[in-house]
Amino acid sequence: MAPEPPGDITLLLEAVSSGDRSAFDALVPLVYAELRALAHRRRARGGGGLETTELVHETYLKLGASRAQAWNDRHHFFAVAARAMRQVAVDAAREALAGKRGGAVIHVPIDEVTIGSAEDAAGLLDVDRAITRLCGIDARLALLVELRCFAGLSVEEAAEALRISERTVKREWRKARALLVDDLRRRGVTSSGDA
Amino acid sequence: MSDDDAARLRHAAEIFDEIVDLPGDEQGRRIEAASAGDVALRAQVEALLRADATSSHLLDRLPDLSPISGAVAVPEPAEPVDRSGELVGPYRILRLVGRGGMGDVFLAERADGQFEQRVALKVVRHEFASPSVVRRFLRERQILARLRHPNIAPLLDGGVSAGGEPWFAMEYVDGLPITVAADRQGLALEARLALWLDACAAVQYAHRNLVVHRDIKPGNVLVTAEGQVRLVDFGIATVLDPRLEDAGGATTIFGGRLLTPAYAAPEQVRGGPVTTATDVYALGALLYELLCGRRAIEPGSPMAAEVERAICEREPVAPSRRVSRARARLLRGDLDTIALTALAKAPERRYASVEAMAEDVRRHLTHRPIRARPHGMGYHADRFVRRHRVAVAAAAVAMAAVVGGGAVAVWQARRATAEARRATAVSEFLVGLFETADPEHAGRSDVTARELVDRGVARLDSTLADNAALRVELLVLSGTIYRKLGHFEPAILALERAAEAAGEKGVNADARPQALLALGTAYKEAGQRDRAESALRRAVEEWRRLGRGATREAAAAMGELANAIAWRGAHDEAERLHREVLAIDTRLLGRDHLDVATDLDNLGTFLLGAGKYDEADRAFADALAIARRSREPAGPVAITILGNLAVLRSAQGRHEESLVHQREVLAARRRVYGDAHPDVAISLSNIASTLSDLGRLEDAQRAWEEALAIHRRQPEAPHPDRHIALNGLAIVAYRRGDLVAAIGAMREAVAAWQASAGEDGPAYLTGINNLGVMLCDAGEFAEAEALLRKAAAGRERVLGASHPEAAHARRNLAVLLHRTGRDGEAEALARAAFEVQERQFAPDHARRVDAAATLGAILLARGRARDAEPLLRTAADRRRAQLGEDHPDTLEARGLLGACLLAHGDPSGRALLVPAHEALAARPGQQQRARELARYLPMRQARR
Repeated sequence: MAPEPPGDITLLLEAVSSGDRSAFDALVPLVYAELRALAHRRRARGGGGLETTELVHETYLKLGASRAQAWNDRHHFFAVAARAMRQVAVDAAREALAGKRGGAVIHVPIDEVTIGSAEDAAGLLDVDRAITRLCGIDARLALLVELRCFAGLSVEEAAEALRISERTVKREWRKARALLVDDLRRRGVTSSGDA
Repeated sequence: MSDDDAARLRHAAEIFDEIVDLPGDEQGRRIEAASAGDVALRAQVEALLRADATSSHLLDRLPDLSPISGAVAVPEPAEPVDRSGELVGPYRILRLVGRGGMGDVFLAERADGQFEQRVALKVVRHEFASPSVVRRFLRERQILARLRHPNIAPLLDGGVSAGGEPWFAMEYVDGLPITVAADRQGLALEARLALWLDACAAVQYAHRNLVVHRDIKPGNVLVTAEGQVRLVDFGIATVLDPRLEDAGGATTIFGGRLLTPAYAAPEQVRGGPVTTATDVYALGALLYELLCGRRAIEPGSPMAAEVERAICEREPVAPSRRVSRARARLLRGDLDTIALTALAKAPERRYASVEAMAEDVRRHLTHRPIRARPHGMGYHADRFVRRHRVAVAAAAVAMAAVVGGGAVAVWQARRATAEARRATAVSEFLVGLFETADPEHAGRSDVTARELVDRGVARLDSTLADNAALRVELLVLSGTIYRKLGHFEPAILALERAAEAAGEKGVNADARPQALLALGTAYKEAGQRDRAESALRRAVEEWRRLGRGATREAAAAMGELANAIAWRGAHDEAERLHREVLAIDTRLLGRDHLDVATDLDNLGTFLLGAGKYDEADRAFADALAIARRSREPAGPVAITILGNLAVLRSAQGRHEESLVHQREVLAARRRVYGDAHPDVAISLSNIASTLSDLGRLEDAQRAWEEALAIHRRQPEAPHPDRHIALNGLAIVAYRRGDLVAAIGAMREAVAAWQASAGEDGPAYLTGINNLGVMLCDAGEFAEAEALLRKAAAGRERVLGASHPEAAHARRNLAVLLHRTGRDGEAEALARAAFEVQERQFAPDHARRVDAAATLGAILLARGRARDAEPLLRTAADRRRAQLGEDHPDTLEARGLLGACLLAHGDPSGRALLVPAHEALAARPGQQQRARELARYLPMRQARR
C-alpha cells in the first residue's frame, strides 16, 4: 500500500546527470520523503528507533527497484542520498532532543537511535550548521563531507562519485575538515578532544 | 558570513592546502609570502593548521572518518608486445591460444621446471587492469582457488605481473565445447543429458561455495577426449565484468559487456542482480541447445536493442517444436517443461537451484514425475523479483546499515584495549562483508545484501572453525543484521547456532545469555512469542546462574522479557520484571539517574496498559520528579514522560490535566521542529482527541484539521499518521450526527491503519471498534457486528479480558446485540463489561457510566425494570452533569429512566421519556436511539 514514488524522479535524475542543480535540489526532498515514509512504516510496525542507513538502503530499493535504468548513474544517487541522509540524521538529532513522540509507547532508550546521546545530537546539529556554512565557501567541499559523513563513502568511493582522484579527495577532505573544525571552534563549540 | 569572510576563508584554505605537508619553518616562510602582510589571512591560515592538528570529537567520530589510509599503488601497466617466451609469475608463455574481450589466453608452462605442467594463462589487458579490477581479482583469487571439484578446471595460481596485469593460471583443458563434442560424437539424448548433469554438479558445488559462474556457455563447458566434463573460467566473469568497472571507463549499457547473447539471462542485460538463478538460466540455455541443436535465443540482428529485446522479452519456442517429429516425441512434456522453466525471464520463476533442476532431469531419466509444472508462455514478472532482491548497488548504504549495528559494538570494544584483537577481527569481518560486493566495484546489482551476510555467515565456518568465541560473536552480529533487515528466518537460524555454539569450550560464559537475548528479540519480532519468552527467560536465568542477575545486562534481558510476556496477560510477572529492572538500575546508578526515570516511565507505561492507573500514576510522578530535577527539566526524557502521563490522565477521565501536559509536549515539539513537522501534528491530534472527549467539538475539529493539514503538506502523501486525524474528524462528525461523513472518514482511517500497522495493532482495533459503533448507529448491523466482534476478540486477546478497553468493546457489542433483539447474549456481555469498569473506575468515569447505561437498557428490555432503574438513574445523572442536558447520551439515559418508571407504574416517567424521544427523533444520526425509546412510549404517544 506504499505510495508509488513520484513519477518525475526518473526525469529529475536525468536532469541531475546532465548537471542541472535545481533538479538535484528537487530530488532531495523526494528521497527524503521516502526515507521518512519508510521510517514511519517501520515505526508503525513497532520497529524501534531510526536506522537511517537501513532506511536509505530501502529507499534506494524502492526508488531504484522499478527504475533500474533510471538509476544507473549511482553517483548522483549517492549525492542525493547523502543530502537526504544528512536531513534525516538532523531530524533524528532533533527528535532525540525533543523526546520521542508521545502516546502510550514503551520508551525507547535514546541510544537505540543512531544518535548516541543528547550531547551527540546537539553536536550533530552543530556540524550540520557548519556544513551549511562550508557550502557557502566551497560547495564541493560540503558535498564531499556529506558523501563521507552521511553516505559513509570511503575515499575511493568518494573519488569515483565526484570523478576526482583519490589523492584529491584526501587533500580536499583535509581542507574541509580543517575548515569545519576551525568554524566550530570559532563558534565556541567544543568539538575537540585535546585542544 | 560576509562575502569578504568567505573569500578570505577560501583563500586561506588554498594556502593551507599548499603548505600543510611542508616542514614547520618552510611553512612559516610560505605563509608569510602568501599572505603578503594580510594579518587576518595569515591568522586564518594558522587557525586552519591548528584545526588540522586537532582531533575533533564531533567530526572524527562520525562513521568512516578514521584516518585515511593509503590506497594500493598499482604501477602503470605496459603495452603488451609479442609475448611468447615472456615470464608471467612462475610461468613462461608458449603461445597465444585465444583472445577474449578483456584479455588474452596463452598456453604456458612452469618456468622454474619444478614440475611439468601446462596451464592456460589468462592475462588481463592493461587497459582493463584498473585498480578496482586488481583489487577484485586479488580477493576472488583465494575463493576461486578453493574450488576443488572433478568437473571444474582448478585455478592454479594468479597474481599481478610486473607490468601490473592481473593473470590467472588455470589447468589447461584440452577439450571441445560441450555442444560440439555432443554433435561430433553423435551422442544420443541420454548421453547428452548425462554430460549436462555433470556440468550441473560442478555448478552446484560452486554455488554451495558461494561462487556464481556468471558466464556459462558451451565454450566454458569443455568435454575432454576421455569424455570428462570440465568447467573453466569459474568466477572469472565476476572479476572481469566491465559493468563492475569505474564509472570513468567508457562502457555502454550493453555493448561493453562480456555477454554471449544466447546464454545471457535477462537480469544480466538489464543490470539486475546476478545470482545463482543466472547460472540456472545459462544451464537451461545449454540444455536447450543440447536437446534441439538450436539456440534458445536467436536475436534477429546484432543491434544492442534487438539483442536486449530478444533476451528480455521473447519467449523461447519449446525445444520439441524445433526438431523432427520423431525426436519431438522424446522432448515434448518433461524436457520442454524443464528447459522452459530454467529459461524463465523472471529469476524467481526458474528452478530455485541447480540441484532442483538437475533432479528433475534425473526424474525424467528414471521415469518419475518431474516437479516443475508446465506453464504457458508469458511470465513477465521481473518487477516482482526486484522487490525481493536487494541490489548491491545499494550495498554501500546497506553496509553502512550493517555497521550501524555493528560499528557500535566495534567502537565500544575498541575502548577496552584487552579486547582490541577481538574487535579487530569483528571489524575485519564487517569490512570483508562490504568488500565482497563493494558497490564501487559492482556497478550495478550483483549480490543481494542478504546474500552478502549469507556469504559472511558461510565463511565463518571455514575461517573461524577453531575460534568458537569469535564465531559466536559474529553469528550474533550477523543474526542481528538479518533481523534488522527483516529477514527473520536466517536471523533465527544464525542466532540459534550462536546460542548453541556458546556452550562450546573456550567461549566466555557471557556469550550465551547475550546470544539468547538476541535470539529472543528475533523470535519476538518474528511473532514467535512462545519461543521468544523461553529464550529470554533462559537469558535471564543464565545471568542469574553466573551470579550476575543484578547487572545492567541482566536488566536489559528482563526488560525484553517483560515486554514479551505482557501480550499474553502475564501482567504480574511482567510487572515484577519491570520493578526488578528499576531496582537494579536504581542500585547501580543512584536514585536520580535519568535512566532510572526511563525505567519508571516504562513501568508506568506498562501499568497504564494493564489498566492499573493508580500505580501508573505513582510511577510517572516519580519519573517526572527525577527528570525535572535533572539538568534537562524539559529534555527528551521529561517530554516523553509527560506525553505518557497525558495518556494516563485521559484514560482516567482527567481531561483538563491531560490537556495541560499535552500542551507542554506540543510546545516542546514546536520549539525543536517548527510548526509544520509531522510530530507536531501528532501532538495536535492528541490534544484534539482530548478536546473531543471534553465535548469541545469545534475546538477539536480545528485542532484535527490543523493536524491533517500538516500531514497533507508532507511530501510523502498519504502520510501514515494521517489516520489519527481522520479518526478524530470522523468522531467529531459522529458526535454531530453526520453519520455518512463519519463513516466515510472512519473507513479511510481504518484502511490507513491496516496498511501501516496491519491488523494486530491496538490502533487498528480501535479503528474497527469506532467504525462498528458508527455503522451500528446507522443501522448497518451485519457489518457492524462483524467489526465489533473482531474488535472485542482482538482486545481480549491482546489486553486480557479484564482490561477496561476490552470491556468497553464488549459493551459496544452488547449494544448492537440488544438493538438486534438478542438480549440474552447482550446481557451477559454488558454485565461482564460493567463489572470490569466498576472495578477499574470511579463512579463518574464515562466508561463506567456507559457500561451501566447499556446494562440498564438491556435489563429494562428484558422486563427487569427494578434492576435497571438504579443503573439508568446513575447514568442519566452523571451524563447530564458531564455532557449537558441535550447530549444524545443524556437524552437516551433519561428517556430509558422514564421508561423504567412507567414500567413500574410511576406516571412521572412520561415527563422524562416523551421529550427525550422527541429530541432524539429530531436529531440527525440518532434514529437508533430514538427507536429504542419509542418501544416504551405510551400507546397514545406511539400512535401519533
